[in-house]
Amino acid sequence: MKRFFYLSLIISLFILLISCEAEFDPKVDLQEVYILNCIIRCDSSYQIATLSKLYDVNNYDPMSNIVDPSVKFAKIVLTDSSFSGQKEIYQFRDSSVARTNNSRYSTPQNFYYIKNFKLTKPGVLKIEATLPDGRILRSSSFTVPLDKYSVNYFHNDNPKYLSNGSLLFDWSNVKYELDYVKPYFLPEFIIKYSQFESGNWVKYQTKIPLSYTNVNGEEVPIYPEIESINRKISYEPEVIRKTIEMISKNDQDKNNYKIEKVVFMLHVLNNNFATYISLQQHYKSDFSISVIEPNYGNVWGGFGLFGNMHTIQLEVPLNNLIGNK
Amino acid sequence: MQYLLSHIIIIVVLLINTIDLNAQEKGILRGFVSDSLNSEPLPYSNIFIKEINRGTTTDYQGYFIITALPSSKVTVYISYLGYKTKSLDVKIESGKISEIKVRLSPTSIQIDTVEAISKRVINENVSDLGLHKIAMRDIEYLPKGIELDPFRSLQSLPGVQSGGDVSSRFFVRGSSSNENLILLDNATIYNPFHAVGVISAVDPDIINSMEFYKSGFPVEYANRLSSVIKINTIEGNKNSLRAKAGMSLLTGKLLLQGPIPNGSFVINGRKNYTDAILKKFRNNNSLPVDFFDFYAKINYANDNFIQGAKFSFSTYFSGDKIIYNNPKREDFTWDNKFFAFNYFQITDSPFFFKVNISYSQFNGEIIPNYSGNKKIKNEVGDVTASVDFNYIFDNNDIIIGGIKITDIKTNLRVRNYLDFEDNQDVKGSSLSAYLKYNLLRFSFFDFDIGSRFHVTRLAGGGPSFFTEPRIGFTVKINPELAFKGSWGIFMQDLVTISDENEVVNVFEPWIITPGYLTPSSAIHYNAGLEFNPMNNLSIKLEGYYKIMHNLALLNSLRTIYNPDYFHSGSGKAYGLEFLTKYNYWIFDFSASYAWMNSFRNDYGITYHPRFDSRNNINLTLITNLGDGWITSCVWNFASGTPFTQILGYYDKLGIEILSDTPFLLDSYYSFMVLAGRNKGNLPDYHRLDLSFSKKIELTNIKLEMDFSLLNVYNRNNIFYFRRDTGERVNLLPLLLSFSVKVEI
Repeated sequence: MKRFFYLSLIISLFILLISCEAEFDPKVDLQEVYILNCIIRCDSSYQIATLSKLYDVNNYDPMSNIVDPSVKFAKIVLTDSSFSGQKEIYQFRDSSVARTNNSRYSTPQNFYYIKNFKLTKPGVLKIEATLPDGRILRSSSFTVPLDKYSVNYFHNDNPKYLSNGSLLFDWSNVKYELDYVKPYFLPEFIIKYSQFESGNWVKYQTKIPLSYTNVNGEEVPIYPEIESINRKISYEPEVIRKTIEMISKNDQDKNNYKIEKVVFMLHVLNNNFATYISLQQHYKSDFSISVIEPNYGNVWGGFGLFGNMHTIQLEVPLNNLIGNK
Repeated sequence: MQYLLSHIIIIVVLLINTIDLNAQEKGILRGFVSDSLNSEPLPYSNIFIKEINRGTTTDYQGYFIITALPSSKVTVYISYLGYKTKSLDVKIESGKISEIKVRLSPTSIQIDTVEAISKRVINENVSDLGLHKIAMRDIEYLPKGIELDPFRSLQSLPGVQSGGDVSSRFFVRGSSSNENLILLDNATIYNPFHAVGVISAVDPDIINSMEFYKSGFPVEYANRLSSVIKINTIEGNKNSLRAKAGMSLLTGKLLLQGPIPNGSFVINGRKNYTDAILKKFRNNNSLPVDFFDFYAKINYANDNFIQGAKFSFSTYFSGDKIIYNNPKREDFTWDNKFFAFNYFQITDSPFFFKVNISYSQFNGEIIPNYSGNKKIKNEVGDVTASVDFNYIFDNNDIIIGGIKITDIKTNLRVRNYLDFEDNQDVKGSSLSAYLKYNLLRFSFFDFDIGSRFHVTRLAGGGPSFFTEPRIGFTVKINPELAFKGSWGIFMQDLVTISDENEVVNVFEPWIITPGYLTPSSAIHYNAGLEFNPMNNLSIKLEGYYKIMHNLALLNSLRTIYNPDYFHSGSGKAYGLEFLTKYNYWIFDFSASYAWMNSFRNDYGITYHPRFDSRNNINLTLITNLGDGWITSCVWNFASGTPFTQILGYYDKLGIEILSDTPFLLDSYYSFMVLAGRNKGNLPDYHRLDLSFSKKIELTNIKLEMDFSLLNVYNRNNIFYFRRDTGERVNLLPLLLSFSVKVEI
């Protein structure tokens, strides 16, 4: 009996010991890795770049980091090399600006800028950032040169009104100067409005979706995604009306709102930028728990993105917004 | 190199045949062993002739043949675990085939001495390295999870790594799950899993036996790199009409079987009636799955029609749906189906042949709704026709050959994140033939040499002509000890686009290897020792080394400039396995240990794949308490699998509205950066399961009840770690499972 008791005790202790939850370390020691971001707006002279570094936190909530990870005193150079042999070199300047949101970092936002950029011809843009410790980050991308005549044609020919009152935007005639540099299109239809708050008119904007879908009683907007083949998009009057109504939905006094203008924007992105945005929208199903998270970038020596874009803007007159059905 | 080897093989086979022409003519014994109650064939029964101390086992159809017997009267012992051993006096005549048909009666009496002796002799006489022959009755008393699962039972074998408590998928000797060939009635099943893999889609009640080759599989099988599971179904009760109904915590099922003129039939259906239990497998998240499987088979054998012929026609359907009824979530559907015709012919000489014609189809679809997920649609259609023959010479040598024609069509439609619908519609035909010679004439040495010759391949780059030479041997050092070895080249030109880094794959979309890749190939080296020091004790030690070339690895850097799904990688795997079985009185004990290493090389970086577990231990004790009571106890241990750790975080550019001019200044979100791929390890896994089974037999009714207690000490085995929240998601907790079957 005694032997049985001891045997049971040993087995119980063994089971107790092995049934504990084993610990493991999900992190490795932090390493010095830098991140460069720069999206050249080909239709603007003012360009911005940001530089930051990797950080760690004591838990798994990166938002608990309140130490600004931005990197100052780097030398950033942008080179515009056209295919016709022209070459322009621009050096970014170090600057900072007050943050719109101070909830996380209390210091100003550091950034780098140039304000005299002018894209002349199609070609290759290159960026090189030399960090204070001598490390170098590099990247390059083809520009997406738009044919300005086709852009004018787009302005003259849009929008159209379909028989059901929908607004149609068609950019099938928008051309680009180089056939082998493929552009990607992301349309945005935006209502810019002002709201009267605390004695001031504050400016806001909201995107008009393609449609709304009802999910558990809630209207969820469905926005257009990046297009490369499809070159037209239409907005139904009911959707536009609903978006306008939602601006002032919870306010009885509709006089607190003024629609300033409604703008259709066609963003033309180069492949790096389009890929980056696409992967940002990358969706994983409930069963997709991958050990490898996509982290697209095109910066050699670190992380980040170097891309470029054009934007074609078309203001839609307010009185034509919801078509004459 | 492999062409040269193939030529050598042909020459060797021809030479050996020439030598054999001078062999002395002796007598042959051929037979068929079946269950006396239902006439179901008894695969892997032991046949032993005491006078000459020789024996064999029946094949999966219950047939056996022994050649080169002296012309005299011999006593043949026929035994099978769980059946009463029978002995027959048979007169062997020179130059003739003596035929016997044996019907064994079930009994609860344990293995007797004659059976144990014959088993020993038989084990030493075949080159079966890496092969496990599993009769369903061998696994029906193991703890069952929700219900008995044929694939999950394989996971207790050394060298087989489980996909976790939530998945019946498995990885064999360091290879990916899509490198396992799964055959049901000789037809390939492409995704034989229900409910994202929680249970397999083949109902164990239709299975008679399984043959599982862990590597170095023979030339009869083609188009996979790693392993083969051949599932042999039941033929149906030839004596009386029987119905069997069963219910578990997940499914209800009905099996009908009975005689027809000159044959038998089987009809089996299984359907889930709830998904509540599946929450336990998914950390209490719902899995609104709806699935079924259906199997039907007709067997026909009439000597007045064709003497010695046996025909079977079988069909199988399975379907799964995961429907959320939520437009913001994607839905999933997938189904398998096949039709198979099998013709088996024995002749007046020790020659038999088989003809198989099958059509197998798989369809899978991800329906994105408004989830943001992208549509995936996959279709596979596989028409296969094959002829296999087998001739046994008087000196016991065997020559095996065959021709196989496969016509496969795969279609994959994927809408990617840049608005392209990628439609890969590929059709390919494969014509191959094989020839193998088994040198079994010597008592101390067996040798088999053969090759499969592919005249055309399905697709992919590289030459269309490809050979797969294979060699195996057994050296009997003494009656108790045998040394075995095998070597072979294997090819696969079908791949899946599932990501091995995904913790769970709902289904694996298959495509023919794209033209920009050379089909994958592997070289297997296997060696082993088999030691049977006592009648009731067996010990096996096996080692393997595999080199894998042109592995189709998912292109993790896929972009518009590099749009291919795959790129070519490589891999290797090696390991040692130990398996011992011991039975004494009412106890049946087995212990296995595997030490495994697996590597992949992707874009020049070598890493351990996610399923690579270094040490695996499995201990099983089955106790027959008598009076229909059987208990079993299984303890599993597996070293922690590779895990990619967190390197740090950075503020990543995240853009919602492009028209926001200063998005580069304030549109950031925190992003996690991962360290070296699979450089870390998850904690070790271990679990203890118990089960209690009771069989009650009344006059015309059989009742089987099973209670399984899973994860007895409620070990918190990790399933995956959510790096974004720090949450640790664990596998199955302590769970009581119950199933009942009634047969009338």
